[in-house]
Amino acid sequence: MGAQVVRDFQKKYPVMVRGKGVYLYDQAGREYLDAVGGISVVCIGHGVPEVVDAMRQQAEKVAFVHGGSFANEAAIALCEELATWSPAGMPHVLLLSGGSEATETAMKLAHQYHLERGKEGKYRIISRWISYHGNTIGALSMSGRTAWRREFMPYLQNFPKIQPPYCYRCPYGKTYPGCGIACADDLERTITLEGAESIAAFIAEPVIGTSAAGVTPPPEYYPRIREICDKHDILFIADEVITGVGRTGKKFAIEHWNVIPDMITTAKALSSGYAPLAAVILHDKVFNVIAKGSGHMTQGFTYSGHPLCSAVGLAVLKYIKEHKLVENAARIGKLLLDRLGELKRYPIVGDVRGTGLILGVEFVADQASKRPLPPEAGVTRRIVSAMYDQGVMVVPGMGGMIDGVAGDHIQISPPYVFSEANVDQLVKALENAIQIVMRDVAHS
Amino acid sequence: MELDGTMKQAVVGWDLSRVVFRDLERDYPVVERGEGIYLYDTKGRKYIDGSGGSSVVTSIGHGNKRVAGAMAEQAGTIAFSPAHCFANKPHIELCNMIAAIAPPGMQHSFLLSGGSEATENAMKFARQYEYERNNRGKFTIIGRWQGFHGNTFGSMTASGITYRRRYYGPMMGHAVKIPPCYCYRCDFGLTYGQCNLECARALRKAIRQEGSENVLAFIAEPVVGAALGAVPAVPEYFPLIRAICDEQDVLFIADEVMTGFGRTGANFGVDHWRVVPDIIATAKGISGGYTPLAAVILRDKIMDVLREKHSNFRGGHTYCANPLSARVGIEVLSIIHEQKLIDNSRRMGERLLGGLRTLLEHPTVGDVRGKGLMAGVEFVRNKQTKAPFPVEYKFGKRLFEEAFARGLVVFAGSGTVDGVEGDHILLAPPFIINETQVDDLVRILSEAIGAVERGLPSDLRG
Repeated sequence: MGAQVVRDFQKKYPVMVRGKGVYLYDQAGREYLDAVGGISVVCIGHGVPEVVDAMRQQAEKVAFVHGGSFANEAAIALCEELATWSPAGMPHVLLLSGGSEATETAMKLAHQYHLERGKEGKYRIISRWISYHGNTIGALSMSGRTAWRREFMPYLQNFPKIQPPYCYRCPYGKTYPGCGIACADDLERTITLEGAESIAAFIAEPVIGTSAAGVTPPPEYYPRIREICDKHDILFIADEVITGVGRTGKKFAIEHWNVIPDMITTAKALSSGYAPLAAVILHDKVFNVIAKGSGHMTQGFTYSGHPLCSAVGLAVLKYIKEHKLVENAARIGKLLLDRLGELKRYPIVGDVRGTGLILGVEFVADQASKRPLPPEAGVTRRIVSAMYDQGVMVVPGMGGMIDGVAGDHIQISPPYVFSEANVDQLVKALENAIQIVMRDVAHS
Repeated sequence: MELDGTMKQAVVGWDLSRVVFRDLERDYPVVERGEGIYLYDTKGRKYIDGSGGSSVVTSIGHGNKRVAGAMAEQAGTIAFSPAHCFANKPHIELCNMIAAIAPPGMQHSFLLSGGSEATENAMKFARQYEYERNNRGKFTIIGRWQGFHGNTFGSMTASGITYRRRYYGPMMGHAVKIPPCYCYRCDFGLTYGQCNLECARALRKAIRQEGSENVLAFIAEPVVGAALGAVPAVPEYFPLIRAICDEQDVLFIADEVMTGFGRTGANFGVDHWRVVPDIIATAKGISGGYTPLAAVILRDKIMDVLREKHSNFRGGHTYCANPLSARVGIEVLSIIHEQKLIDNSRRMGERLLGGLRTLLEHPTVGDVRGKGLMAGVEFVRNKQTKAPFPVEYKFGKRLFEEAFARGLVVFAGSGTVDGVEGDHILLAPPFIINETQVDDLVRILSEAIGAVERGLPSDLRG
């Protein structure tokens, strides 16, 4: 692989040559069950002919034209379609090429919204620890991911972070529902301490992604967040880069709480990985202020509204609708959560959580005290690799979801076309992996 | 359907109200198809793509069936594969192809999806390299005024493009800016040949003022694109920059997002100066716009340190190394190579520049410059004083619309003089353009300039 720079320089990467449905095949002909959707991206499965055809047709017509001079049919059609997916009052769509572009664009729009209303001091974004909003500097400034921030600290903005709604390890040592949703009230306290006049928005993943896969706040959480944001004239951005477009069994995850955000950022499933694509969806409230104010957006990138990527997105949305895949994500997600829950009979399985097809399993040294495993035991890596040896791929969760350093978990986020049989294969492989790892760790 | 606020329905039958455009007040015609250097809208109107998809992207032209076929084949095989556990063949092959044309000693590529991702990841590679060498104080980036390196916060912090930075001042980090190498309006009031290259020496001064123990890297576009309109540095500039960076232990990042892969008539822009940077950030031409694709190319010394320290790269994004975009890159680079399009870019670039120089007869054309198929025209109210038009007259936008109405797409920019005043256009047609098409482009542009000049109010003439 001489010329290629990979993320992990020590690792030998097998070469992937083909994918079909929920399976991937490497150069040696080995089959792998894709239970990660290429990290929460692939939703309709690999090698879908309808998408391939849409791509070919669009590439032959016009693959690229810059959004500064022309509109294009594919982008218009995708925006129209996505407007039918978004919550009420959110019909405005800005197309981009990836999650980090989307969250940074939302960050800019939040500031612009306040600027155009004469509140130019409001530019800071509050987010949560144990979160991820992207890897460009603005997005990383919002991300509460200790390990990825370390080397780049001098570049990061001074954005406040609040505690996550992580009931299994409540940052306040409380128990739901007696807790009074103290983690949501932490937002109000932070706003007061920092000064609402400097805060533009609060951003959160409705269901937490790779930082603590599948963590789902209680029903009262987002209604309370919405209320606090409104009270202090702060926008609420739902970062649905992972959860959007059906992954949680609803079109957008925030619908589980019946809350309407001011902006939604979404990416991954929007194109199912067939092409880099993302969107920021704006509420009338935000769009109208800018449209009737300066009428100008400085947020674009070269590939904003890319015709080819848009045609892919449209084909993917159609495929999801025609095959009722959001409904399947809800149904299979529930089955998978139940089946994974049964693994709590193993003492290293601490927590099993998730909504729809974004799920996580957290490993502990002791179920009662929830004491974490020593990071040097490398349990996450061992589980993932034992599953991999059985031809099943899951994502190693980011270490550090407990305090930024300790914590072992895996993320399971398969394509929406996952079947009952696929669930069986996955759970069986995980169970075997748990047995192998318990034995190895006991012996080491 | 009810249309919202200032949003207008530009084309009957198409409801544009759901699409958020950059300029919320402009009527955008809807493009239907592209072929070669031409674009066609839904009303059947034909346009010359005079600026490579209007931002120096399109290299091999539109509607290429070979690329469409390769893309469809790849999507049917494997479009997206989890990069945390697998390599994929197109990814490996494309990195090898890049290594074959990159400057000597730059054999390692990291693939991404756009120019802003490339420049930000270039800075992260630089930072991680110095961090691992225990130079942990080194973080400051030095860029240039009227330089553009992207629209994410890290890349914008390094950029000196006033118009795009304005709203976001408090959200940007610390970076230092030196003046550009821009002889038509020398910041030092000097004339090339007798200037002692003060604009390059400003880098040494900035590093010493900031403290080289704090300075990570200098980033520059070999030919300044969006913010100045195709201004190449003078021949001695980058060799002197390289020497200053070496002397001061500061990395040199070449931003070749626009200039890479043949746009300037060489593989990379820096090749014209025979200088090897430490990192190249590149995008646009590598995929010709068929999919979002970018690359960071690293000098061996950087990879050696990261490998030796077992320092896994902390940058990267979801679509890094995706097989589909990599396959597109392979096809585009193969087409550029097989059809000798870099030679064509150089030859047609000379013809274009020659043609544009004839426009100096227009009273508003102040300067014409460029390298290969990346050329710029700067407009002035008075040729002797080089006084610009008032900002509110929007000369560039007017010219863009006059050219557009005549079937030519150009890329108009402003802030040429000082970040606020000044107008220019950037021309960057696809590499497949031929002599007749170059001449057509110049003729239409001349007519458009004439039309804008005829419309000038008397107080703005000369």
